[in-house]
Amino acid sequence: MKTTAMKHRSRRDRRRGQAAVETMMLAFMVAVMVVATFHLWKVTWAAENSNIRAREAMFHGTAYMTGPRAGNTSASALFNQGEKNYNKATPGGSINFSSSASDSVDGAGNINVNLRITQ
Amino acid sequence: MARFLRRVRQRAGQAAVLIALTLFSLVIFLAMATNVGILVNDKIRIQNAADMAAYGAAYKEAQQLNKLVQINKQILEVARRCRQTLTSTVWTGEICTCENTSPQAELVIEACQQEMDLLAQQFEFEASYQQTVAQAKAVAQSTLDANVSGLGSNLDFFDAASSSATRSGAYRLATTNAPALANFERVEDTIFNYPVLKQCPFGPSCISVGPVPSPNYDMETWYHKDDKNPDVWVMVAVKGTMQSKYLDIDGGGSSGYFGSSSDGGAPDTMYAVGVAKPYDGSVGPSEAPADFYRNANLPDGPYYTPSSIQYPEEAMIDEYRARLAGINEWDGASADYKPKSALSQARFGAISANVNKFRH
Repeated sequence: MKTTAMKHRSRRDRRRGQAAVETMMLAFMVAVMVVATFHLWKVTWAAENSNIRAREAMFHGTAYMTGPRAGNTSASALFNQGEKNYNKATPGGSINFSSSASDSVDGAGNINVNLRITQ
Repeated sequence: MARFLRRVRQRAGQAAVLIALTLFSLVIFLAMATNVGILVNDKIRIQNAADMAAYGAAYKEAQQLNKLVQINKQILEVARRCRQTLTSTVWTGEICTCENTSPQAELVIEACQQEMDLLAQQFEFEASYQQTVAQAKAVAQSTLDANVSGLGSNLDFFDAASSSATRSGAYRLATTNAPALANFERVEDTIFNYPVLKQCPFGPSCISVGPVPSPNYDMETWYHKDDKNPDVWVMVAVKGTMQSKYLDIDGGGSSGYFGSSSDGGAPDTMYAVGVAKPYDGSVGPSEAPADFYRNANLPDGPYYTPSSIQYPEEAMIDEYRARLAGINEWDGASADYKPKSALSQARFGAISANVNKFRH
């Protein structure tokens, strides 16, 4: 014959570990979310960084392209470093300026940004 | 009653509800982060495209302005050559008229004027609206398309806005009243004269008197930009629907997540405005001291007056470049046209309704 105390212990036994499993599952999902959000941030940041670098390369040439993340940036710059001014608009001919920047993100490949001024 | 109390005390499934709520919140935050990331990225792209387009258009205008300066220099060269020819020789007056003019010298002056008029025609062609602003618009359009496919068809170049410097007829050539890039006036040079030996009647024959200076001749020479403000600018407004599809929790419709959705409806539309202008050059010297400040890029001097016309080339500077400008750059200036005024007449209602939100 089971006493009241034995009945309570049995119910506790049945629930033992349940919280641990739930916590583990929740922690796993939260971790996935955090990693995904972090990765998303990296991709977004890389894209914005590339856009900004391409733009700066276009408008300021290499003046702003000397940092550690400047390696993948190139441009037919509108800016003349020697004159510290924009290039003179020589008459005639077509207008073709371009700038590109890329940034690599682990697992997402390269983010490429191309800017163009063209006729 | 006892059964009810037992049910209330039962806590099985409580954690599942909490987990579901927590996960739902996390998914919402993840979706929000995704949306904001994509929205910001698309906003940067459309703004870059608008700035590139404005810069390209201003660059095209700068190219044309430099071409105009070069034509002006050619006119100046002709004027100088003519003056040299006229002043290096003593001309013979018409026989026995006693007038201080020479038929030969008059022919030279006429030929000079014709030569300058031909260059003037070229100047007016290159300064015309068709060759300047219309071409700049084409550059803006192709630039938009080159950066974001299909964006060029959603361009507002403000060529229909009455407050815009890019409207046909905003500026004109003074000689023909034809629409042009800026108000251009032709300068009258009155220092053309020459030494002449008058042939005066003296008894039955003629004698030479002089040399004396001939009268001053008015000759139409080069042009100057008749404008006291540097208000030749281009403005580009563009709208576009994001190319990237982003998470759309309500599954479509135009009143979805954060007031937007990915179905291409009105709330999906993004707007960007870019302003640029040619600068750093000067077409030519102005006509009179009162107009000294008419060309903002005119150096400290000299300027044209009938009595001081030594170095007009110093105000013919073919170094126009382009730079980005601000929408509010001309605020407070007595410019003929201001981008902010034109912005309130934008083709896209959403822009004109929010003009004051543009802070730069």
